[in-house]
Amino acid sequence: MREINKTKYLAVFSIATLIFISGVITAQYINKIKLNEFASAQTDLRNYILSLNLQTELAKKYECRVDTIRLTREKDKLGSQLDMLENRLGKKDGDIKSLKEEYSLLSIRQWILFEEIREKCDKKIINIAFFYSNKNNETLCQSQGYVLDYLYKKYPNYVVIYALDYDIDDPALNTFKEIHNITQVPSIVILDKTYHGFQNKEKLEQIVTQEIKNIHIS
Amino acid sequence: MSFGSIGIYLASYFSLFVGTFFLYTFFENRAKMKGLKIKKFPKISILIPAYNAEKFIKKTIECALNCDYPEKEIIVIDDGSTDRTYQIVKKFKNKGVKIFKKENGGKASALNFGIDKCNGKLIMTLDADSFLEKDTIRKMVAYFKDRNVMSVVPTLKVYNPKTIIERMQVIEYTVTSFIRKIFTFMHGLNVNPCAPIYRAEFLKKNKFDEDNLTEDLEMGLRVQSKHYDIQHAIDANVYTIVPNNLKSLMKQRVRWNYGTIWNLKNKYGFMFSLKYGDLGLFILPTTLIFFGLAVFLLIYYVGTLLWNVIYNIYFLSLIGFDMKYTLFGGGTTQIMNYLIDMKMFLFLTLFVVGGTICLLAKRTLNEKRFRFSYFIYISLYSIFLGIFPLIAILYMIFRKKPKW
Repeated sequence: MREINKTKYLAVFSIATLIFISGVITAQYINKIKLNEFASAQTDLRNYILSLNLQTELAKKYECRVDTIRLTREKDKLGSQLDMLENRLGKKDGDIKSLKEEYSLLSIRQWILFEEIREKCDKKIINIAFFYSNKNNETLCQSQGYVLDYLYKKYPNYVVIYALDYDIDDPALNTFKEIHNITQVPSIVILDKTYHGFQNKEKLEQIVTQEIKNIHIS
Repeated sequence: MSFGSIGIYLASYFSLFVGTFFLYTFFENRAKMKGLKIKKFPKISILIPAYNAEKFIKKTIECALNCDYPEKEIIVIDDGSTDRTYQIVKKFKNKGVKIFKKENGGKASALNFGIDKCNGKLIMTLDADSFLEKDTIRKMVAYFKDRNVMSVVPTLKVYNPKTIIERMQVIEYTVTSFIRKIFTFMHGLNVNPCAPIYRAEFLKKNKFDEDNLTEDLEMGLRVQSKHYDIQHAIDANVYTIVPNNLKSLMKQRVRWNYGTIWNLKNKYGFMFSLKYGDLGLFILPTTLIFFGLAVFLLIYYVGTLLWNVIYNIYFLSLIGFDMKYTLFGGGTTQIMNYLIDMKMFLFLTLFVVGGTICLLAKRTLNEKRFRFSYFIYISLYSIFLGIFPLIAILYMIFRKKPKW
């Protein structure tokens, strides 16, 4: 019969547990710091949205002088930051939801402005509104987002994408949906025409290239 | 909290507990980490079972002959070799080396044959591809002054490591030897690999199990089952040839893992048995839990990685694999988020505990070839640590036996 040193087991258990708990507390502390960083990032984002809104208002007055590519890039940057924040804090986070609502309104505002610019100032813009959902058809929506992102990167001087959350219940967004008969996700609006369901790369690229040709001919 | 996260936390705590246990035992017995001085020189028989060992048998015998131990006999048992092993060994007859040839029956059968032919008070069973240092036997025999010690194992070192696979094993062998020494302080060493020395009276009564895939482990467990001790002569070195490619490493390790699981499951009822002390309560359960965790982590991480690869391929297919205008999709971000998140805690735990043990092992065993740049290989090796038991378990499920 071999002896067992119970005191040793108890000592090892205590040391290991102490280190483990310290580790967990440290991890939580780091998480808290990260959350504080996110809180400040949220404030920055809010200010950025406000600034972009003002820029859009200003642009209304001087429509034809507006640098649409720069404005699109700024909006795109804002969208990426929002995505990052959403990945970290989760899609259900209250602040994220409210930020996304503000972002959607900004997008609609820009959409209207860019449509006006396109018509009045002969600018080469292809506005694409993309409705997605985090609740329904998530994989299809992600796939559509990926294809649209590809188009944006391939034709950065022409294509402007507005990603809009179908599930946000906002009067302006609901009106936009009604006008363009958006009843399902994913749905895409390109130059006032609505496409329901997933649209593949070939079809979308054909529309975009055709439109680019039209712009050049006109 | 997800299933994966719970697994990660459990793995972290378990690794921490085991690491702390090893370190605690080490610091408790630090003064005893040195070797002993020999006082008596009982006659020793060195049994060398050899099967198609023409490449290394000459060096093995030369090293054994070169040992500064006064009374020794060297017996080579040619286990039905089809190469030049017999002719090579025959040349050593004039130096007193005895050679026997028998039909092929496996290592255990060759050893049992040799046990009947030898007359030493101690018996060393030496692998045909392992090389003793001049003072190896002297340092090992010193431990037999304790009557309860039934066998003594040396420190195994990798001979002339060149390939990445061999260099990875330098770290592994150093750490394993260090941990084996720690096990002896708990009366828990349970394996007799490569070049152990036994008391002849024990081996004559307890022959090797010829059907066992890991006869050295089985013999270790048998020694322990009779409440005898196995000691580790930490300063006695034996250099051994190790697998130099993935295929042979896989073959060897699957056999070892299979043998370990099989023996622990079927032999002597050690698991969680209080009468075997730390061996039954801590060492053997820990071994099995480590196998389980290694398999779990392998499936979890490789599964996540594969899922992300498929995810990226699917998205790339949507854009006709036109990589010019895209970066890898969400999968890459997911992996990064995954790595920098709470799983860091597991890596940190393993890194600190594992690193401390490696550092102490390197210092204690004075292994100069253990370079810290080899740590790059360790991350690769940790994947294999999960693959070997996984394949061994699959062999068991499908009721097959790995080959030698």
